[in-house]
Amino acid sequence: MSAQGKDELQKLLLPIHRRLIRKQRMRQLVWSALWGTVASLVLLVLARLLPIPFSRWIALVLPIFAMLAGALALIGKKPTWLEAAQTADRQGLQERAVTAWENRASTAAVALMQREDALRHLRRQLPQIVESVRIWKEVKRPLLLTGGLALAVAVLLLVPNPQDDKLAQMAQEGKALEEATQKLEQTRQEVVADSRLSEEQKKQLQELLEQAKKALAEADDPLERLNAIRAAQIQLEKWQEAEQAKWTPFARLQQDLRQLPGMQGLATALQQGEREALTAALQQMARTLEELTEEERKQLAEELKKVEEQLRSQAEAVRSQEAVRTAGLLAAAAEQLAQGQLSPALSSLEQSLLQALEAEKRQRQALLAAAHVSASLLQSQMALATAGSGGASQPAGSAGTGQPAPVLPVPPTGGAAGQQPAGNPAANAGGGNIQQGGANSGSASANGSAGEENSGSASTNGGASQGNGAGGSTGRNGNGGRSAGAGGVGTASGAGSGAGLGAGRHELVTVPSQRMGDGNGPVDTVGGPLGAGPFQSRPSANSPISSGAALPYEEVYAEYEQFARESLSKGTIPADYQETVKKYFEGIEP
Amino acid sequence: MSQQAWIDSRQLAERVREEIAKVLVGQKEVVEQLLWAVFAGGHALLEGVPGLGKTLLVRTLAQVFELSFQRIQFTPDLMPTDITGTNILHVDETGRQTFQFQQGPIFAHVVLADEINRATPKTQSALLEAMQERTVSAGGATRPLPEPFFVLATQNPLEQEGTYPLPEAQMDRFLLKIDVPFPSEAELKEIVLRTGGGSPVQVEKVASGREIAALQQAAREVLVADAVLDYAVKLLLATHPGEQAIPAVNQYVRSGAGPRGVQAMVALAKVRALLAGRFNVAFEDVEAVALPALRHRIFLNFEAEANGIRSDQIVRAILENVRSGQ
Repeated sequence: MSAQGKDELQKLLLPIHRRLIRKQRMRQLVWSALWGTVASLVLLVLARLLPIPFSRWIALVLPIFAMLAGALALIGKKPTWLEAAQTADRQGLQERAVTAWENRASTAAVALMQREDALRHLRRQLPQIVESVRIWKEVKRPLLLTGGLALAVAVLLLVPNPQDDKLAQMAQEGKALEEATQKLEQTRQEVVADSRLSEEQKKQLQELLEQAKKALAEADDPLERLNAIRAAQIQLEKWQEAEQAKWTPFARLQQDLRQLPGMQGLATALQQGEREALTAALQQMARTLEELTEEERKQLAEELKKVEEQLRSQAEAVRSQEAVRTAGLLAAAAEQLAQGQLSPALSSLEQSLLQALEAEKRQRQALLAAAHVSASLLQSQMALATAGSGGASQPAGSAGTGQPAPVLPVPPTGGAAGQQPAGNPAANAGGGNIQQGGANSGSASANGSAGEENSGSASTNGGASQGNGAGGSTGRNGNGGRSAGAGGVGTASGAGSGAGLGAGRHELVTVPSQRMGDGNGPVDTVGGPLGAGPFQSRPSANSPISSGAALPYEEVYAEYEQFARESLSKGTIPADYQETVKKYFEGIEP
Repeated sequence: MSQQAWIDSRQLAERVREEIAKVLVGQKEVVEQLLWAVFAGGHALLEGVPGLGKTLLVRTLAQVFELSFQRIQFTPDLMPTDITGTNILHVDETGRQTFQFQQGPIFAHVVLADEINRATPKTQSALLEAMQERTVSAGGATRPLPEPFFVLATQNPLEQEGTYPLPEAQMDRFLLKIDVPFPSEAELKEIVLRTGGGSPVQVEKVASGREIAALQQAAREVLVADAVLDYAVKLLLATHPGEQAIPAVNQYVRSGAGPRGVQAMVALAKVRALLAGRFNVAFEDVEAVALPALRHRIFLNFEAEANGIRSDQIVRAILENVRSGQ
């Protein structure tokens, strides 16, 4: 009777137990779905306040994950038989079932009688007990609530999210950052592979690029990234100035040699940078020296000595070891010439000039590399600025104002072609996108004296584009003195930043350095009829806007427009240009 | 014990109820609680104003059970030996003098301690020792009391002047405290009609001491599920002031019920289950016995006295709270 009673008790409790399991599962799933849906809803609401990537997809899968988690949590958790007995007792069994279950192993008379009593009651009331475990009633409310929330989620999924634009911009920024980093790395590798650079130069450029990459990686926002690039640019400019200074003694040497009788050919050969021409010039000079009298040779030696002293003093000033060595050889040549030792003198002169030639080549190469690095940095900066100002900001205007980047001065190497390094700003149509002006050779009129920076004119793209290139191009002419159009061949990089006309949203724009300011601001002087007169540009000494900063377009526009208006009222803009300026600012008004 | 014996137990209880009802009008709840005390083998304290039939009830109970009955009227000059008995000088036929123990009224199956709070504490404690130990020590000998042995004490809640309220430790000896309510209008009418004239009603003896002992044994065997036992323990713990206690307990209770409280609840609940025809205790049994089992074990503070708070209110509040937490 005992074992049979126990079996029957479990058999009677079985349907209750199964029903409890079903109820538990249903409740768990429904509540999990509810919490998942609540989480989705919260996420979607937050995604409307903050840019959260993939919020839609996450919101879609959250309820599914929640239900899966709920199902997993159920593993190994089932209602116990005791709970089934308690459920039965709640239907008026007065703890008969629980007591019977707890004493199912007992063989005491009272336990047997109690079990029989419990079984009797269970048999009689089982249908009602099973029915009392109401699943639907338990899950009805959360299920309805889940449905309502799911509807709200669906609405939020379908209604466009204003944060999507920001997300797109963030993605663009991320891409731009990646591209910028890749570009810097690529440039670094090119610097490493450049055999024409000295190890010291390579090391310095590499360090500079590494620092830029590191700063870029550590920057938290677009503005910081731009500032990181800008800092690298400033560092590069300093490096470039230092390299350029090392070239100064050799330039002076060229000029001084040109003043000496019979040495113009050497100066020209030196300027051309061709070894054959130098050899030919030395042969010509040997013939000339033979024809000179003793007195003339001594005089020439003295002149050469003066040139050497000049070279030495300048070399020491800029700490150019190569120039010092060249001066030493030149001093030996002067000494030998004074003593009438023509052949050794010519040999020493040849060595010194060849050394000067090589040094010049290296300096030029360093500056070319610097220009390349600068172009990379600018390209990165512009890419980041474009991304930071919002990819959506793409005015469909037809004209843009190109802002050429400062073009690095490169020693001219040829006098024949009147070519001048020129920034060729690519002020593209729909100027929201900035393109870097490629390194190119451009024909430009250049004013300036030897050794002085002049302002090259920036070319404007033809066609419908009306980019106004501000003269950031600097170069050196190779003729010495002031001349027009006799520039050397230059390789330059230019980058144009354009603010285009047309519809579109303007958010952040990059304010290039030295673009505008107060009385010390940039001065563009034009004369003559529109598009045909001479052009001069003086950069700003100080600027109210931080260099290279990304600022709201409206702010930038307001300051530029104010500056233009003041210029118009002061009459500093020629009459032919005034209407153009007015139309331009009307056209780009935000 | 066979199932038939259980059925007989129920029938026995029913017959007792019927016999008492012949004499006592109404007071069914009091009769029921008194039966719980008897079948649980405990003592009961009946509290009610004079004239509610407390003495009649106890006397009738003794008659129905075919047990010896003694009534002791407690007064301030009552001595302990007046209850327990004493050694007296006895002279036999040969003239030889010896001390013999003269049993007091305590030596009976059913002892009615009427107005127990009127005796001095010394006398009260003599009775209470007998209640606890079921023996009497006098004249250097310990004498057992008859089995079954019940003390059914009464006290009047109104006349407190010149009384000696029972100390907490002695109150705890009573298994339950029964509040004897004032009869309803219909019951009063019936009382007048019954006592107006004619011969007094005679009750039948329906149970012997042996049968009572068997029923007590059956009650002790009633099963208690863990959950039910937990419930009783929770109820008891809830009578104590503390962090988990309800505000009423913390405000008005000086000290809660002791362990005898839960023992009393379970014992009484078993009897109640048995009398209800069950072999197991239900939650409702515990709830039904909680009030009589705990009301005299909860000691209220001065604030409660001042506000007229009774321990019944506290127990009901505890029941409400613990039940909702189940």
